[in-house]
Amino acid sequence: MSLRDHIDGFTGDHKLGEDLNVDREKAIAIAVFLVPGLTLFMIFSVGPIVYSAIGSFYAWDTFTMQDFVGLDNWIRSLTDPLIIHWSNIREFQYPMGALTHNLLWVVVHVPASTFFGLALALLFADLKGRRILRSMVFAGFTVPPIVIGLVLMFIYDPQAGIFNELLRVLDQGQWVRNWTQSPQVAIYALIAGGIWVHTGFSMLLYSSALSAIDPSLIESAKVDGAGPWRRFWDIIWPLVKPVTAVVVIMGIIWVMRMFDIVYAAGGAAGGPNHAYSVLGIEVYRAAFRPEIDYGMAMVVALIQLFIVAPLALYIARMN
Amino acid sequence: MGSFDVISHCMTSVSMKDVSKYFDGGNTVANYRLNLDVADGEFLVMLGPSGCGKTTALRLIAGLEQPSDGAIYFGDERVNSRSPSDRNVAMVFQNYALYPHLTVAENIGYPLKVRGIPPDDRDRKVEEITELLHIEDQVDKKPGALSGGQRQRVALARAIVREPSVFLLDEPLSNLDAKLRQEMRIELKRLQNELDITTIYVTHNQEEAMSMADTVVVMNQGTIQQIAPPQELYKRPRTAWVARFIGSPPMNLFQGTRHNGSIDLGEAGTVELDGVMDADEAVVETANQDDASAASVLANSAQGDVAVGIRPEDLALSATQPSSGNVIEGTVDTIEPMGEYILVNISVNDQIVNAKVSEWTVSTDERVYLTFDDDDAYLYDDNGELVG
Repeated sequence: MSLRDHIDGFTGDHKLGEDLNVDREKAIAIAVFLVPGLTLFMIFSVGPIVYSAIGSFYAWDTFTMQDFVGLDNWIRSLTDPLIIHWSNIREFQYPMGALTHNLLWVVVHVPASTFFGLALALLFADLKGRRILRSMVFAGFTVPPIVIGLVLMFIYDPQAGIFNELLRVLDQGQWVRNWTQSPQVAIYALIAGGIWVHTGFSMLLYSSALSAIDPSLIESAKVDGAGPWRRFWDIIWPLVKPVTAVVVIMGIIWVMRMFDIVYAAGGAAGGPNHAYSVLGIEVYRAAFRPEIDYGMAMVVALIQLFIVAPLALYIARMN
Repeated sequence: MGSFDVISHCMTSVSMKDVSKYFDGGNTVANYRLNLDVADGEFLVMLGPSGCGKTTALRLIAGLEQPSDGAIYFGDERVNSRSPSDRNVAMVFQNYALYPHLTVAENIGYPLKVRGIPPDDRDRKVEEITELLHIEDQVDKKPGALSGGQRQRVALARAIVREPSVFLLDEPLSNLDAKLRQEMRIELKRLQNELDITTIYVTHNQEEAMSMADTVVVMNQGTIQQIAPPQELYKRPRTAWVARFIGSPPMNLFQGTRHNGSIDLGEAGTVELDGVMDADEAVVETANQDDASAASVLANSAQGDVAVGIRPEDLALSATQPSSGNVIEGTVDTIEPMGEYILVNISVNDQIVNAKVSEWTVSTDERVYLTFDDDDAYLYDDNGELVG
C-alpha cells in the first residue's frame, strides 16, 4: 500500500467521521427541541395513562395503592349495573348503565348533529347573511358545556321553561313535565340539547367543505342536466364525504367524553337513580365521592380511552 | 378522423335581442343591450379584454344567469326562463370543471347517465367519443392524474357526447401552454367543422378568435363593438377601439385636427384628406348615419378632432424625406428584430408608433419619415367611429 492510499484511506475515514458528527449534531438538536413537548406529554398524558393501567390491577385504600388483585377491578366494574345494567337493557328501562347511555348518545346524537350540520350548511350556502346565520348557529358550540347544561335546565324547567311553555301554547299540555328529572325521557332531552350545540360545529366543518367545492363543478352539473337532488348525491356528497368522517368521529369523541351537560342536569349521580349517567360521571363519582373506589375509576377511564383513542388516531392519520 | 355517427344534428340558431345584465341591484352593468345572431352551425367567437362581459354573455346563453332585460331565442323559442339542461347546451369551462371523484369514463358518461340513457348505450358512446378525441387510454384514470391537455379533451368529450344543440366554450385553451394551445385550436376547429354544432367560444386571445371563428364579436365594457368575419374585422375595424384592439401590434392611431381638406397631426406633419377619403368605398356606415357618404360626413363639419389609423405593416420607412405622398415624421425609439419582420418603434408627438418592416435600414435616434398609401389609412371621427 502506497503512502497515497494511506492518505486517501485516512481522509476517507475522516470524511465518514465528519458525516457521523453532522448526524449526531442533528440528532442532538432534534432531541433538545423535543424535550419541552415530550416532557409535558409524558407528565400529562403518558404518565397518567400508565399509572391508571397499572393501578387498575391493584386494590386501593382511598388514594393509596394496596395489593395486586389481578382483574378484580375490571370484573367488578364491568359487571356493575352502574356501567352496564343488563336486566334494564332487556326491558328498555332507564337506567341502563353509563356505558349504554354513552353508546345511546353515539347512536342518536352523532347522526342527528351530522345530518343537521350538513342540512344547515347546504341551506346557508347560497343565502344572503349566511355569515350571521352561521355565527348564530355556531355560537352554541363556543359556550362552555357546563353553561349549556344550565341553559338546558332553564329550557326544560317545568314552570318557567320555554319548552313546556311551547307545549302549552301548542295545546299539548299533556306532555308538560319536568323533562330532566323524568327517568325515561330525560336522556333524550339532554341529547336534544347536545345535538343543538354540536350541530354548529358540524355545520361549520361542512360549510368550509362546501365552499371548497369549485362552483363551476356545480354549474357544469347543471348544464349536464342534473337537478338539485342529483347534484347533491353525485357531486356534493362525494366531495364532502371526507369531512363527514371527521364530523362523525369528532362527534363520537365529544359524546364519549360527555360530562358537563349531564352533571349540570343530574349532579354527580347522573340524574334520578343514575337515569342518564355517563362514563365520565362514573369516573368522577368513583374517584372523588365516598365510597371512593379508585380502582374502578381507573378502569372506567381506561374504557373511555379504549373507545376514543383509536378514533383519535384515525383522525390524526387522515389525509 | 372518420365520420362520427353518434352525433345526430339538431342544430339551433341563437339570438340575443337587447339583452342586458346587471348585478348588485343595477350598480354593476355586465352587459348592455346585446344584439346578436348566431346561425345554425356557425362558429362564433366573443373576443374582448378581461372584464368586458363576454363570459357573462356566454353564461346568459347557457342559462346559468338570467337576463335583466331583453330576450334570448334558440331557434324561434324564447328560452329566458329555461334551465341550462332544457336548453340542451353543453359548456366547457375555463378550468374544465371535471368531477374529481369520477373517472374519465364516468365524467364523460355523466350527462348521459343523468338523462337516463342505459349503461350499454352510454358505454358505447363514451368509447366512440374517447376514440375521436384520442383519450381512449385514459378512461379509467381520475382527472387528477391527467395532464392539462388530456383534461381539456375530457372536458370537450363530456360536452359533445350528448349531442348538444349549442356548444359553449369559456376560454377553454387559456390554461394550456402555447404549443398545446395551437394544436388544440386546430383540433377544435376541425371537430366543430365535423360535428357542425352551433358553437360560441369566448376568449381574450385574438389569435384564437381570428384563426377559428366564422364570425368574431368584439366586446368592450359590456357592449358589442363590432360583429364581423375575421378578415373584415382586420380590414375594416368599425371603431377606433376595435382598431387598437385587433392586430399584433395593433393599429397606430394618430390624433389630429381636421382643417378643410387636410388633417393636422402637429409636429408630425399634415395629411391630405382627399386621398384618404377617395380610397376604398366612398360610402361608410357611422353610428348616426347609415350609408352616409364619407364626403358628406366631412362636409357636415369641416373642422374637428379626428384620428388617422394605419396598421404597422402598412407603414414604410425611409431616412430621407420623400417628395410626395402622405408623410409622418418621427424619431426611432427602439428596434425589435422579430425574425420574420423587424418591429421599429418610432416616437411621433410623444406617441410610440409601431412599424413592421422587412429590412433593417434605420438606427436608433435617427430622424425618419413614415409613408403610407391612401388605401391603407383609416379615419375615425371624434366618437371613435370609422368614417373613411
